[in-house]
Amino acid sequence: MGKISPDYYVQDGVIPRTKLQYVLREIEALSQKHGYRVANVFHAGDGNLHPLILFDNAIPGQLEQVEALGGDILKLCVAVGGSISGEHGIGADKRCYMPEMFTATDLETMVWVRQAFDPKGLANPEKMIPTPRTCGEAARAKTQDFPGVEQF
Amino acid sequence: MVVLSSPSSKPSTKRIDWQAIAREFAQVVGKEGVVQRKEELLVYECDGLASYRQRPALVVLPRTTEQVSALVKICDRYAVPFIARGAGTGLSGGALPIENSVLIVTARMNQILEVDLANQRVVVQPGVINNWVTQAVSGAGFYYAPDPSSQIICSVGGNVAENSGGVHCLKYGVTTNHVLGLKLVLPDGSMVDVGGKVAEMPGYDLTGLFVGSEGTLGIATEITLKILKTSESIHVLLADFTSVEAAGQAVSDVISAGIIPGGMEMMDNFSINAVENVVATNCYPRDAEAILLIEIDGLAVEVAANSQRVEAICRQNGARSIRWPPIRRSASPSGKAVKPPSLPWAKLALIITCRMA
Repeated sequence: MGKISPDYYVQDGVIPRTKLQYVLREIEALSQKHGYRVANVFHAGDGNLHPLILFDNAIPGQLEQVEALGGDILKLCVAVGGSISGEHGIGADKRCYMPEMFTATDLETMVWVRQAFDPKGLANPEKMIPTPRTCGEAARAKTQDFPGVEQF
Repeated sequence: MVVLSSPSSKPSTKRIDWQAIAREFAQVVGKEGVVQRKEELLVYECDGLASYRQRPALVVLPRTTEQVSALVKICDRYAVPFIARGAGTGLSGGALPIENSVLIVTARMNQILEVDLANQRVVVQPGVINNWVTQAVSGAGFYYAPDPSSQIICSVGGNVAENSGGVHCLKYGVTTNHVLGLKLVLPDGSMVDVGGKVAEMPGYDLTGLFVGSEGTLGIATEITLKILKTSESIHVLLADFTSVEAAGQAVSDVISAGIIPGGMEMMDNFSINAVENVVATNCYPRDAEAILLIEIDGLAVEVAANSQRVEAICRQNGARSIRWPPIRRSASPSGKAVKPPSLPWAKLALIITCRMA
């Protein structure tokens, strides 16, 4: 991909196999709407998509737009009954999309489990579970939500 | 939308005595196990998600469970957050440091502790590279199934944290299906064993809870993995389609027919041309809207029968051409077997075989 585009952003979502055709059409529509090419290479058998969004990180603002496109693809995956992560995990990248597929009660249950193991919140904080500090009021992953994190 | 409060550490206003912490770390892992020079910390400021970067305050490189426990106890006492990192190949930023944090890197915990072929299990430290597990047991005809595309560089500890998948997880399941037990260091530094060496353990499935917890519940310091017998026979089919819909339907039809291929990968036209532009395999038709790479593995008779059925299903769905690249590998009589290739390797293998053909 490096030969075709200076940078690429790889997303990781899961959809039911039967929705494959619909989702690929919608990804193409999102690609045109946002104005970025998307290459699709994926584990078709288990419905695990890895859309590669091509962009140029040297152009200011492109990363944010590409992340927004990636976010729209994740929401599409949830809308057809899928998931926001197949195998890459949630980490710092996708925690603000957790409320797309889990209710407040679901997330609260996860926090209880986390607190049972880690009452002081020292083990990899600010990952996986959205917090007001990290995601604010909007379920959008934006770089400005990472205080102190240098953006490239 | 609702966001929740969590136990995440608030930005601390108190001054942290990093020199004192570094001295205590050095007592545990030696001076050479503590990284604190700014230029050396640079390489740890991001993982595979390179668009976010944050330099950790300190990096420590333990070798044993006891050392991890001692380090975490120090973090707990000073109330500083710690983040575990394996090989740093994760794509979701799970090992991204936060401000004023300690990065506990498992790179030196790279020992395979036990190989028990008779019971099909291997005990490893978390810094062991995924592919080393297969290499250690392939001579005896076994392999470790979860195969992320990064398997030659990613660590088993990172795989456990993120519950990593791979090409062959369609048939064989993701990391959690292959972890029997774990030795853990909890966030207060205490050590605990969960799961065990047999698959059916009573009580809560704490192993299942921990796998995929992304370093938020503690650090796995010993991992007991299940290994599988290498398939007797492996065939790979390459089918090309003039529409993505037809290829997608073929995928559904194969699974509906009760056939679970070892791997089933699709590439769209754009991706096909991207590959051809760079490596010129001449394997993938540039005008195909989609190609399917389907790996069928198992006993030789089963593979032969299923190969025919899969080919028929692809043809019914309008596959324009079907090829069986000469990638057919099977366990040799000497018992020296080859692990089924993962996606990039499957592609590479196809490239090689097509060039040879």
